[in-house]
Amino acid sequence: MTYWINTIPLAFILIGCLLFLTSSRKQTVFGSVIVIIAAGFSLSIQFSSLFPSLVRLVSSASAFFAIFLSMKESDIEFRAIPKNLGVLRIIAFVIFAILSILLGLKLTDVLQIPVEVAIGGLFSLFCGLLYLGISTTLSKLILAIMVFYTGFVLIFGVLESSILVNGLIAGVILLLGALGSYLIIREVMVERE
Amino acid sequence: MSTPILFIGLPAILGFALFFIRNRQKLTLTISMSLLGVLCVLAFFHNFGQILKIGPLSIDLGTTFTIFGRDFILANSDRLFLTLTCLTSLFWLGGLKQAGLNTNFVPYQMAIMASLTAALAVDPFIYSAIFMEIAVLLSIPMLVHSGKSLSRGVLRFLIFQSISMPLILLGGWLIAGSQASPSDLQQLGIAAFFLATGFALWLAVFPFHSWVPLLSEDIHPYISGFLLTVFPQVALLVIVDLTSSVTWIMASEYFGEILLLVGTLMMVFTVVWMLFEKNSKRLFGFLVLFETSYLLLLLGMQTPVTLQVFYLTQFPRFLALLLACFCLSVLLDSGSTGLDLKGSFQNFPIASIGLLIALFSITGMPPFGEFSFKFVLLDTIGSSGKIKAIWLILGFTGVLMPLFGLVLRIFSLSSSTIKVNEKISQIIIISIGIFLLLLLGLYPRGLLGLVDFMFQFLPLNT
Repeated sequence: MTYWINTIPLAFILIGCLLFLTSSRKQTVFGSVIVIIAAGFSLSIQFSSLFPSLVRLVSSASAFFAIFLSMKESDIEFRAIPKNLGVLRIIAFVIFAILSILLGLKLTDVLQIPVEVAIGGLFSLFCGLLYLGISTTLSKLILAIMVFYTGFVLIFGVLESSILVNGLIAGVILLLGALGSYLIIREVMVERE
Repeated sequence: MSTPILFIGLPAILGFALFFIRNRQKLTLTISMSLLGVLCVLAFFHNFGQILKIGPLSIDLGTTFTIFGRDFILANSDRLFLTLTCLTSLFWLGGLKQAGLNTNFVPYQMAIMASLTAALAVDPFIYSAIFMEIAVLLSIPMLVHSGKSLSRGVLRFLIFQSISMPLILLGGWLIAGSQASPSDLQQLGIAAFFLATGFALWLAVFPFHSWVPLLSEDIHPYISGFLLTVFPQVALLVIVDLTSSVTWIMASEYFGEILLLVGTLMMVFTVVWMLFEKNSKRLFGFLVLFETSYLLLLLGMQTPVTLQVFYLTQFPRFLALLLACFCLSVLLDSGSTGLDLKGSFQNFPIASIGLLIALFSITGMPPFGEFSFKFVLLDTIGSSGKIKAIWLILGFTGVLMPLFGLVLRIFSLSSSTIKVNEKISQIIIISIGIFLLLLLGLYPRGLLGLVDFMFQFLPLNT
């Protein structure tokens, strides 16, 4: 690890991902996502330029906030997760976390990026991927794609410093947030009809 | 003024502006079709990089637009693609109202086309993935039908396409890095894995194919027809762009072999699934996959002739796909025909015939549009091994079985009276489509002569 202090944001990402996967409370799910984004930002800012990191932070936070607000306005709650399923998700994530560490070490060599960025990015990426695989509701799928992108952006942001590319990726995340909000509100309206 | 501003900026701005007047149906359609017509003529006739003269007006039309240190380039090598996309959009918009849709979709369609053109224009190519993702996100509002929940097909489309963006960006970044030291085999292997998976998700290659039949089943056939025509088309052209810009990929002996293997597997699997399919919308989705596999095989052959055919076949391909989705819209929107189209000839004979001609054209049956181009593949595949040729013949014959089943269902009449329920405008559109497909089938050299001058700019060398 480049700086040992970075184990703290890594731990935050790990805990954030676990809470994201296992919690059915809206506030906890979104809180954990914000923790993942903030911890990712604290890692990213050390190894890439301030401006692109800030752009990514603001766009991700805005997109999640937009979805949170639309869910709050529409009174949508996540379905409660049975205990057995929660345990299964934890086991799956532990497997993915171990895989992230092993792959992260390899990725560090290939991409020439700091190990904490690689592992942190992969934690979030796999968490999103796992959530994509097990979720069936629209709101969860949109959130899963965004968590997946958060992990990817953490890794790619260190590699690519171009303003245009970072701006475009931020645009994609914002567009996804806007689309997610629209689809969630629409879904509720359809159900009420 | 530059070509990227004309072909990307203008449609994007117009799409945004049209969003606010989308309820004025005629105006929206007239403006968008006029712009696409002008752009199509410009792409076909004007030599990019030279001064454009319109009466007393002279416009210096450059080919590069630079923003934040990145270039968007639309040079003469992109003219065929631009002509093709503008024609596809123009034809699609032309049939929009007759297919039973309103003009609410026009702004999104313009924005999607702008984004897809940007995907092909951006340099370096890896950023294409971002523009493809933007196009996917912009297409989602088109796939949402009023009063209905978001379907599984749409969600899968969104998920699969969203996952592909990071893979292609990372793979492309590694490829760009490896250009300096192509001897790092480990890095090349990882880059190839990322890129191959990303492209497989884009093109719905097995095992990532499930979203195509689901999407075509869940949404309006005219919309799925448009998306399934343009997305694989752009994705394949981005692959050609990539392979022609990275020399070691072109030089690699495995590249062509892998494409041939993937194309053959895709074709065989698609045909196997099609055998049990009676739903006409899903059948259409499978035929899109069949068509993609054929295009992959053409790319894999890596000869100048097959590459030329790869470009030429895009014209009958988009015509056949658009005609098929238009006829499906006419047949299914009436409500009198089930998804298996049983007895549809009785009430909609013209649309039924149009659909069958379009589908048989896709399979390469003479004398329709794609016959001569599919024949070239069958003619040349033998040189790359007998086993591939056998699989290909099995694929081409297998695809006919569900289509013959469809013919039987369409013509299974309950009484001898046949009524023509199509509107005059629908009959005209279908007739034009059939005429063009027949013309391309009977006189393929005409198309070659028409676009021959563009080939000098294309990356046809292997």
